[in-house]
Amino acid sequence: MLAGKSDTFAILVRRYQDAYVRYATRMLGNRDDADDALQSAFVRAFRSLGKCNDPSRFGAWLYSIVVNECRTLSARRTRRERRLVRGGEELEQLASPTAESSSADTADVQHALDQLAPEQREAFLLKYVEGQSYEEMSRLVGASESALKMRVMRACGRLRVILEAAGRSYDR
Amino acid sequence: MTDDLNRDEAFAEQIAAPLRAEVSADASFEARVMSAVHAIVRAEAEAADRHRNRSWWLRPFTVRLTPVLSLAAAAGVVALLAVEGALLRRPEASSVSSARSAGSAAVDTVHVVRFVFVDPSARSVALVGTFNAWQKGRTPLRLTRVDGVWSVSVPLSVGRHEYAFVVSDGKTERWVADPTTESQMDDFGTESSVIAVRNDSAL
Repeated sequence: MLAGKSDTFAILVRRYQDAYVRYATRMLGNRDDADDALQSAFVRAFRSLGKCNDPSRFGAWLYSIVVNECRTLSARRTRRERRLVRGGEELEQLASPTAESSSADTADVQHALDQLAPEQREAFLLKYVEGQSYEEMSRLVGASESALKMRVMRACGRLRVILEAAGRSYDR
Repeated sequence: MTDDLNRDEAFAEQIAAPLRAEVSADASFEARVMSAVHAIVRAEAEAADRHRNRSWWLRPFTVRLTPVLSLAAAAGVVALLAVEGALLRRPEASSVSSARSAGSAAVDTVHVVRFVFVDPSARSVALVGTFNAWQKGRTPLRLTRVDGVWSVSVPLSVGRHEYAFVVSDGKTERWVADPTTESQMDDFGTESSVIAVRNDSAL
């Protein structure tokens, strides 16, 4: 049944492979895990193509699978060795090559993000990095808007504490 | 409260900015995903093939022998089992008959029906039916040289026979009707299969 769909699916992979790499990388803290999660999400999507009720919304459907996959992997690997440490080589590669200060910022913030609970990190990234509205996030994550607002607020509070403890200062 | 929210908003925007740098997928990403996808497609095709083969393997077929050969029937059955590996690969029916009986097949013919069952997890398989009073100890299938393929050949009279397989995995037994032939339910809702043996049976 899936045989005839693999060629078409290659087009979808090409179209969407870059769309969610940033989210997966920020959520999981490194490219290896992000690649694993994305590959797993695409394969899962292929197996479940019949459940994608509206082909015109394939991207949004795939996004929800990616978010779910990242959350699962994140919970499983919270304490893993490969998690990025501050100033790590991989983080330097993630930052813009033309902005040295931006690279240091990315490393600091990613390090702080890694210390959040997965659901808080997920909410913060979707809201402030991916630019989702709370309504969109609610559909994607399956949590109420008020719960998501609470997660974002706690994530911000925790990030501030971690970053200030690391010597950075922000307006109060 | 509003001030707190605005302050959080400004803080969040400030720390999120460097995280918004674009990130591209690895150059080999598409190839890796499609490799996994093709593996799924291959596995699905193989599973479909197995299902088709299983459907055929479960189908009984008839071998016709004359009474002259009936004394040698047991030996014949052994011979059939010995070549079963080859027969299983040829879906066409086999028919063995003697030239001497050709003119009186209607009264003389003995029918030997070979039943084949495929289940790699089975520890024992028995054939039960109207021809052995549904006694599972009477007609056990034997494991052939092909893994998971069980077989038995049974002489049957002309007429209609009901049958099923009793499959054991060593702990539990289950009753399995042949999905490729006509089936029927008894009064207790148990499904069994039906085979009609005719004088001209040579499936």
